Parts: sequence; structure tokens; C-alpha cells
Amino acid sequence: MKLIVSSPPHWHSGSSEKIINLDFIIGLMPALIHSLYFFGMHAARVIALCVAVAILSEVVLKKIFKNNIGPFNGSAVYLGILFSMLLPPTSPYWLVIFGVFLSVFIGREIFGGIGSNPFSPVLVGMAILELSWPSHLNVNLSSVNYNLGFDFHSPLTALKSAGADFTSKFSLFELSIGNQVGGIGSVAIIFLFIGGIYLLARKVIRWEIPLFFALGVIGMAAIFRAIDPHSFALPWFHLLTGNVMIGMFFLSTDYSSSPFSNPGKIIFGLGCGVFTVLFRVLSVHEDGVIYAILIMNLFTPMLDKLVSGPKILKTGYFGRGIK
Amino acid sequence: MKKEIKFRQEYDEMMIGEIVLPEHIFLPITGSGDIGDLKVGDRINKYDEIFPGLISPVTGEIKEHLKMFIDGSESDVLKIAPVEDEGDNESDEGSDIPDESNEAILGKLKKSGYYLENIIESECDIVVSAVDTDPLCSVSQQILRENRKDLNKNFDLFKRIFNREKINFAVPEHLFDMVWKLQAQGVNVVKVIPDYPNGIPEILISSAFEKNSLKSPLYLKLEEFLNICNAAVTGRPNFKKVITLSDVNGMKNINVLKGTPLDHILKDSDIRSAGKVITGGPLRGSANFDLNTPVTIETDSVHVQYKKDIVRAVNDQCINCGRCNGHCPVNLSVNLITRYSEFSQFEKCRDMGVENCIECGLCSFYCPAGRSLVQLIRLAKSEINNLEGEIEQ
Repeated sequence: MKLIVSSPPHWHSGSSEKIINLDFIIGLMPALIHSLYFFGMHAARVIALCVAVAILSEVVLKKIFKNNIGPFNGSAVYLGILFSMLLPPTSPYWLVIFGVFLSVFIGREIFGGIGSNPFSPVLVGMAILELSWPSHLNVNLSSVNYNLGFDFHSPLTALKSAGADFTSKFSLFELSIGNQVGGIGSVAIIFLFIGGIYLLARKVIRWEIPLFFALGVIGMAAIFRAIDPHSFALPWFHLLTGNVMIGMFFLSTDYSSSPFSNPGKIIFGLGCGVFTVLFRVLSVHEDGVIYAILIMNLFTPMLDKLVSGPKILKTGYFGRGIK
Repeated sequence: MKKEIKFRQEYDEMMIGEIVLPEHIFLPITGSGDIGDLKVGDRINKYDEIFPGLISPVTGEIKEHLKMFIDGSESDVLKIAPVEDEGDNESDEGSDIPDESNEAILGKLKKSGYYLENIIESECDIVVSAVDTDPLCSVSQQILRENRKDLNKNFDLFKRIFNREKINFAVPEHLFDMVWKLQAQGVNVVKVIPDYPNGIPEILISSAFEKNSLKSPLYLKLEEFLNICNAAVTGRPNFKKVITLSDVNGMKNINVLKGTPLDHILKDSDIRSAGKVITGGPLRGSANFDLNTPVTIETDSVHVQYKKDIVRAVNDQCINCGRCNGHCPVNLSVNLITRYSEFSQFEKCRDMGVENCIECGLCSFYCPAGRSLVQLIRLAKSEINNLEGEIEQ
């Protein structure tokens, strides 16, 4: 009888990268369906282009870097869908191609592929696009030709240019069901929330980062609101607009760019929330989620040092059977 | 069909089966490997003392003196062909506690191969555990169920021999009702949730007895504890060992002679096409390459996997999901340690406390990239040992 030997453990939970990425994609599905319902073929065009470019650039770059391509694990598909969720439906094709390629190239492959990237790859691409072609990513300009039956002012533009009093015309219910101007999927607040709950239930992501992200946004916004209610918006308004919801569940929880220690996760989440509101209130940018998460990604190696260290177990006479 | 994997070590009561005497038994010789005047071809009798501490479990002829790989190290082994002896009267003539002096009892223990004076002298706290260490193993639970009536007598005897005020006793939660009365007679009974890895000695002592602040604890399996008590009463060692044999289809407990080769156990249960034979639990145990490997006091469970169920190592790139850290019972940063180990930065592994790892295997179990994390940790540990050896020289 030929026997097989190997190092323990001889069991495996059966989880794999493929299943994890599939879960992330399923988590984005409600928002994706919402975007297709709203923007129709325009959204489908952007999403399909993003996914195609992501897969293609990953394969090509891995070949160039002589990196093992490995089995298909769906990470490029997830990256593509997530990237498309942040773009306006009218994004020109060259912008999409350029952004996704940069995400895969500078965001991930240049550092050695999945698991090694210090920044969330999607955010690297988005930040480059936003700083280079702000007009193409201006959600107000890009949606002038649509008529979807609600006010076509971006709530964040309104807040920036007209102050907090003007935001009262946006009802929180309308905002939360996705009746606002923004990226293809990033405005589908309630649908992203459902997807996020799915991820939490499947234990794909942990609850610390989303919860403390939300608490950071609410807390910081509440402080500003207390200072001057006329110029600073309600905490709920901040929570339900822009990229906060997609940032909470999908962008900030990227595995390799977020800390793994539990205290680190809490500080990371809080920092993302606080910086988001600071960017919205104090900078020229309307929405600061992308920059807030990128800044907190910088702190990740430091936050990972906050682990409590190994638990020292008691020693004694163990196991070996007394004789 | 994929069978659901459970870490809950709560099993129903089941019979302990017996198997026939094997053709050969393999008797490991601890220590120097010196067997005195005995040589191949000699006949030895049951209860003969081969050397102090080693009692022959059978009557039979020594066939061979060979070296074998047992429990992770090479040791000298005697291959003995046993003969059936009818005149064996293993009746429980003296199950009552003898009114003998401690010296007499210690003499009996020595006759059975137990040299335990240093336990009496030392101050160590004794911990008896009825919690199984590995999943798919119900030996301790089963023995607790079978011996629940005699436990009070045995604990009294043990306390008397070893001059202890108090003995600690860890029992799985679902069997606590059977033994809580022992608390009245100076046994500190502690409930343990029977989930892997709570039963591993290091973890059991550190977490279940956290409040008791034990001094250099001595860990005894319930089976060993009962063997010692039995030897103190009868003056004869127990040559039998209860093991749990499990495969995809189920598990059963059998009582085998120590030294029985795994081959014989598998044949007796009609397992013919095993792909992997694992002793010591599916998460910590070792896969055997030799089916002549004998059952020792350490062998609690034999787990058989068939070719189609065997987990293949994938070893993809780490995606930093942090599941290994989340499940580590000693709170190590497994993802960092294993990557340092992978790229030969062993001193960084040591700085992160890799030597605290108890190799429970949970990190590898949960790793979605299928990385062999335990193997990388073992590599780091052995390299650190080598480094320290070099420094000392």
C-alpha cells in the first residue's frame, strides 16, 4: 500500500481566493443591478470595459513581470467592477482604459501582485484620474443629459457651493435609495449596504473597519455641525452621500492595504471617517473618501504593530507520557 | 461528497471494541536502547522486566531488534511475536484501595514501570484532563464515561500516594454532571468547552486554569492517571491503549495492545485502500509512511483519509486577509512570520515570538491561499534553533 505523507494539518476549510473574490463580486451585485436599471447601456459599457481591461492588463503585466499567472481567481474581475462603480456613466473609453490599467499596474502588479499592494489599487487609479481629468469625472457635468425624475445636483456640490442650509432639500430617504448624482454604483447607498451586510455575514470582511468608518464620519461631522449648523451639514447627510458607503464596505477593506490587527482596524476605520469629513469640509475637493483611505493606507504598517503580541503559554510537563 | 468538518469534540457514548492479538508487536525501547542479556530468538514472558521501566506486555519470542521512526524521532524497537497465553488471569481481584504504606505502593508502581518519586518531592500541581486533545478522538470522554463510578476512589488514592491536598481535573462541559461531586473531596473540577484547540495541554492549562495560577503543572491524560491508579492497586501495568479509529464514514473506539502495528488495526477494521494514515489528530498529527508503526501511549487517534479526500497543498501568494491571525490561539502575526520564514528572515520570526507557536494547525486550516503555514513556522523554529546552537559554539 502506497501512503501519502505531508506536513499537518491534514484538513482544510475549503475556502479559497476564488470564493472570497466571488463573495466580493456578489456583494457588489445589488449596486451593479441598480446602476444598470438607472443608466442602462451606458453603465453596462463602462462596467464591461473596466472588467475586460482589468483582466487583460493583469495577464499582460504578469507575463511581462514573469510572475506566475496562477489559476483564475477572480480578483481582476472584482477590481474592474469596483472601479466602474466609482466612474460616471459618461466616462470616455480612453479614461476607463487608462484608469483601470493604472490601477492594476501601479496599484498592484508593480508591488508584486495581489497581497503585496500598499494602497488599495482601485483608489490609486481613481486618484490619478481625478487629479488629471477632473472635468471628465465631474458628476454634475456628466449627467446633464439624463432625466431620471429627481434633482440632478450632486448633493456634495450643493454642500460645497451653497452651504448646509441648501442641503435640506435632499431628503435622507431619497439619498439612501440612490436618487442622487454620483458614480455609477457608488450612490446606490442602500444596495451597497445590503452587499456589505452580505460580506459581513460571510465573514469575508470584519466589522471593525466599516463600523468605525461610519462612526468617524458621524462623529467628525457632528463636531462641525455643533460649531456652525449653517455651513456644515448633518452627519447623516455625510454618511449617505458620495463614496462613503462604497468606501466603508469595499474600498477600505481591501485586504493587503488595511491593517490586520484589531486595534489597528479600529484606528484605520476611524481615521478614514475623520479624514473623509475633513477633506469634504476643508479642502477644494467635494468628496474626500478616496484621499482619506489612501492616507490611512499609509499608516497600515504602523497600525499593524499594534498587535498585542504573542500570548505566552504556561510551561510544564506536557504530553510525552510519564514513565 | 464533502463531509462537514467539525471542531466540536462532543461525541456520543460508544462501545470500546476489542481486536484480536496481532501477529507481531513492536515494543519501543526508551533510553539507551540497551536490552541487557536479551537477544534475538529469546523468549520473554508477560510482566518480565526487560530493563527498569520497560515491562514486556506479551509472552513471545523476540524476532528482531530494529530502528523505527516513532512520534517524530528514531528509536530502538523490539519486534516480538506473541503467543496466546491462556493462563492470564487479569481479574480485578483488588479494586479496593489497599491499606498499604506508601513505600509498598511505590514498590508496586516501580514493578509496573512507573518511577514517580520525583513527583512526590516536587511542588508541581497535577492536572488530570478528560478533554480530548484533537478532533475525531473520543478516548478521554469514553474512558471518563466508563470509569465515572471509580473516580472518587482513584482520586483519593492518587492524593494519598503523591501527598497532594488538591488535584485539578479538567472535564468537557457536557460531561461535567458526571463528576461535579468530586469537588467535595478536594478535586478542583474545571469545565472546558470541548472545542478544538481547548484540549491541547498548553492551552488547557493556560486558559482553563487561568484563575488557579498553577505552579509548573504536570499534565496527565485521564487514561494515564487511571493506569497509574490501577498499577498502584494491582502492581501490574495496563498494556492496553484505547484509540479512536476514524475515517470519512465514521469513528469507533477500540482497545488495542500497546505496540500493535497500525497495519493490524486497519486490517481488523477492513480498511484496505488508505491514502493517508494519520496518528495524532487531523490537525496536528503526523502522516505515517510505515504501517508497522506501533501504537504508543501518545497515540490517541488514528485517522484514515482516502485518496480522493486528501487535501492538496496549493501555496498561492498570501493575500493578507488576516484569517490566520484571527484564529491563532496564541495571537501570533502568522501572515508576517510565515512570509519572513519564506524569505529566510528567521531572526525577524524570532522577534515576533515564533517559538510560542503550538502548531495547532488552525492557521493553515483557514488559509484561503492554501499555504502550508505550519510547515513554514516549523522551518523558522528549527532554523532559529540551529542559529542559537551556532552562537553557543
